[in-house]
Amino acid sequence: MSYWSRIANVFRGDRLVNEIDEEIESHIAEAIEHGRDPAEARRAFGSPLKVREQSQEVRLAMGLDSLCADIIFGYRQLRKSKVTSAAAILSLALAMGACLSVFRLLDAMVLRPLPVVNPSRLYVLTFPYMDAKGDIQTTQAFDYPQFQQLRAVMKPGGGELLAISAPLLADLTFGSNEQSEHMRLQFVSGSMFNSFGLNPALGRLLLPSDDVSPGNSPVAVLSWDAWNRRFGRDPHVVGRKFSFGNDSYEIVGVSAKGFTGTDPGLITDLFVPTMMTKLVSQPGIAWVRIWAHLAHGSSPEIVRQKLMAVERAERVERAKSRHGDSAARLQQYLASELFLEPAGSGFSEVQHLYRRPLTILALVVFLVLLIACVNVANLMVGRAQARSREMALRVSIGAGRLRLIQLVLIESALISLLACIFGSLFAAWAAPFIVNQISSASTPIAISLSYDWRVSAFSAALVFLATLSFGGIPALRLRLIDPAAALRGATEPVRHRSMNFLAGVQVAFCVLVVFVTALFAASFHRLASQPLGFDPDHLINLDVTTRQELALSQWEHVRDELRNVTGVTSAAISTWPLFNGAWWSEQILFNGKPSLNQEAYFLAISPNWLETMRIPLVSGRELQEGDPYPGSVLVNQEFVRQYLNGQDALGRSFQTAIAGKTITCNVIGITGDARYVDVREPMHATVYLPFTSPQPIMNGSATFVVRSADGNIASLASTLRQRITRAEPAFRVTEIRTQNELVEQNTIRERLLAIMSLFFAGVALALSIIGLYGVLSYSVLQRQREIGIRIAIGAPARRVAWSVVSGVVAMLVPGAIVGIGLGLLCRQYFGTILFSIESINLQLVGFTLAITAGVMFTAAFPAVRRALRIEPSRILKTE
Amino acid sequence: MKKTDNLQGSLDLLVLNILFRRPRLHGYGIMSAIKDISNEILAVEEGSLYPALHRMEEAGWIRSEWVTKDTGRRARLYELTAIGKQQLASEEDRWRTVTAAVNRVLRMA
Repeated sequence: MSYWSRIANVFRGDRLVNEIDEEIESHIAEAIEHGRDPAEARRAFGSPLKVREQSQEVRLAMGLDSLCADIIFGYRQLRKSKVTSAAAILSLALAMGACLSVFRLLDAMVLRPLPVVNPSRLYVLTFPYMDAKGDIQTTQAFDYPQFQQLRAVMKPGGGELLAISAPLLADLTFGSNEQSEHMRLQFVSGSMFNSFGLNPALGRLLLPSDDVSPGNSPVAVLSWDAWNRRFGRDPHVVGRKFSFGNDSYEIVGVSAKGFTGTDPGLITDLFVPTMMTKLVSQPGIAWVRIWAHLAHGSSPEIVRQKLMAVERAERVERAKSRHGDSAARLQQYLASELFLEPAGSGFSEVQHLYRRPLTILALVVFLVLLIACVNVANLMVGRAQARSREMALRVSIGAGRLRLIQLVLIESALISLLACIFGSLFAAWAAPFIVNQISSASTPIAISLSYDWRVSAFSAALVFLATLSFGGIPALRLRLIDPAAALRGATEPVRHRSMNFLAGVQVAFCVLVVFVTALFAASFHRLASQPLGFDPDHLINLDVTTRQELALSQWEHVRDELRNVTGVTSAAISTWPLFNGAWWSEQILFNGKPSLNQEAYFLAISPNWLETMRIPLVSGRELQEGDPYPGSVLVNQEFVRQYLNGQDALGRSFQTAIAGKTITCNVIGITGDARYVDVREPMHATVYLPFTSPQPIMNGSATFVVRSADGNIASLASTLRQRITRAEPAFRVTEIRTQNELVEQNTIRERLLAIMSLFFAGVALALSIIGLYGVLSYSVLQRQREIGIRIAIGAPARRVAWSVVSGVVAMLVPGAIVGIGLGLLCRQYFGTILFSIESINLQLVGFTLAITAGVMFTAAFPAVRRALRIEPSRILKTE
Repeated sequence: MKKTDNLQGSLDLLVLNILFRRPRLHGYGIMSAIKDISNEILAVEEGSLYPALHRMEEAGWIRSEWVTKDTGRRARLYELTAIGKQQLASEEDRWRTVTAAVNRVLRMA
């Protein structure tokens, strides 16, 4: 109780003092009444101040009281020089805000464990496979029969295997409402919710009994987020029906808040039992991820070995029906390696793509924060210098050193706390902004950026670190105060060295940030200037699906309708748009034998597609209406180079197996090279088949590619959509995207890195200019007299200027060297994120140094000018 | 006889004792009471009395109350609490032990 009253007394300090004073007065009045001499009575009392202090001490929590006093004092110190304080706080706020934003993204996408039981025991099965180019890649996609076989060997009690699909964007309709909507849906094993230890917020969750036989349990569980966003937390949502595909589903429950699916970067709306997709009975179509939730004491390695044995037996069986594989491909397939990758923080494509870029961004913003801290540290050192007499006075009247350190640290803590508050506001805006930047139509990214204890802890750590970094030096230097000397007026010799050292550190960080930025900017520039082989401007892609199977003539009818729309110059059909992320690759056989290890890309196109895409025809003729499938094909020049050693390809034929059926293709024309999925890869051999209906793959859905005459694509898009459904009601447009959108989205990660790092490099340079300017101006001010004497005895301007900058230059050079060295080290880590940038790029090193040197010169200029303008007569007189 | 400064630790005992016998005294009253009863041998200094009073109040031995006197001036009256009575008993014990010990030393020496 007494401790609380003491704390409370801290906040009613005035009342306490008044009471004590009143009591003393009352005592003296009493004494006078009893006939004592007033002066004597007062004298007998001694110093009322002392009484007051002694009484106060017993009634206050003294530590807290001095803390409050120091906070008020620190706040007044900040207000004393408003502009510099504001500059320090704002620059620090920007850097802290950037750190917080990147941390929140990194936390949401990569670090935060899934809100499930024992996330550290969660693994995802991955295996290596050979891609179309013959390179080894890693994938997590299994077919369902594979999953069933693997699940069968898990020991009861040793853990569980769960089949969970990646979230897919599903077209579904609620009730009788014909308007379809996109929702994100995951097919999951019925036992997933139980294994993850999740609870329903409403109704029930999926059960193992929902997942027994194909197509029998059309039930779905809504995620809390979808319930909140789409249904406004309607308590009657359980029992609502929606149709998806050919089935009508019933919502049986809502999962508890927090669980947004297994894919960080995406928020799942609906969970549906795996058994509700037809794919469960199809071997060879890989669509499901296998999660292992192991029990405690169950070794991942033993589980892996057991699963691998099963997988190997199965692959030996399956290899018997695989034809047309090259020897290397077959050998790789039969090796059937499996890996258990820890996935406690979830597992997603987005996570994989952004783990490293976000880590790099975190490094960059951390450096910016350090640069900002160095500035504030210089400011604090300068202020401490100016206050050395005050401090000496405090020491000589008996202030404890600890108390002084508290005084100095609290001022720093105030700065960093204020900066952190503004920074949090900045991050609250910036983090969703960055998510918007990297989110695109085909890979929308949604992240729950909730403000939780992890963010608070990180903010607290930032404040602590910042406070120590710039409050630490002045606080430590308090030890060196010699009251006698300071009060005599002998200013302590200015420590240029510590300021110069800080400037050097700052330059090293700045050079590093600029170098990293130069790497990313150059990489993005090279990517963006890669030739595509087609003209993406004015192209609109309309993805369509059909309700029933349609004849080729119906597809052609719609295409002709589109061609007649005003503003359209040409229209064509293809399996899907280029650069939508999908590809189709097959092994090429000559005379029944596989020729190369790598596979060629395939795409089905209608006549006019080449013209619409503006891909040139090199020789032979284009596909025409009536060209047979299977039969006539076009190939690109790269195909001719790779498979036919550049010989004349017209009239040559080859075989390939499409959907298990071997067909023969006759080359009737050769096209120019065009990129298909990725600008990072070299031009790839491509085969263009005639578009038919039914199609061998992707039956029932395709894309109308339309080239418009002018750039007014937005208004044209809705006209085209209407025209398609009017011409043929069986068509439904699922997505409309311009070709430029698709191409840009291919390099969105590099663009994000380039733009963000450019921004932060700008900030870093600006902060360094301010920092260096401050250090140099301060030193000129301190050395006015010395410089005045130098000028008076005839030192040339050149020498004066050099004497100003020499100390700093001596620090800049090592700083720059360290910065570049660190940059080259980072280059190793960046790896494949950088596109065609050799590991030591002298041009970029030179560029970085030139930029930094230019900036430093700018920063030094005002100080040098000031030094040169010193008038010896005036300075020496005032001294 | 020279006015001895209050013996180490005896101030609390004196104040508690006075307040036990005469509840609701102000600081000046306590001081005069000590002076009167001890025939002016013991004198409490104002400078030590008030911090001591505040310390004992903080410790919960005594409690205080502001009253307005006829003169219009406010005065602070102190009285013993239950804890204060226990404290007084233990202080008295301690005092007796100490003085007995001192007396023994004086006799034997």
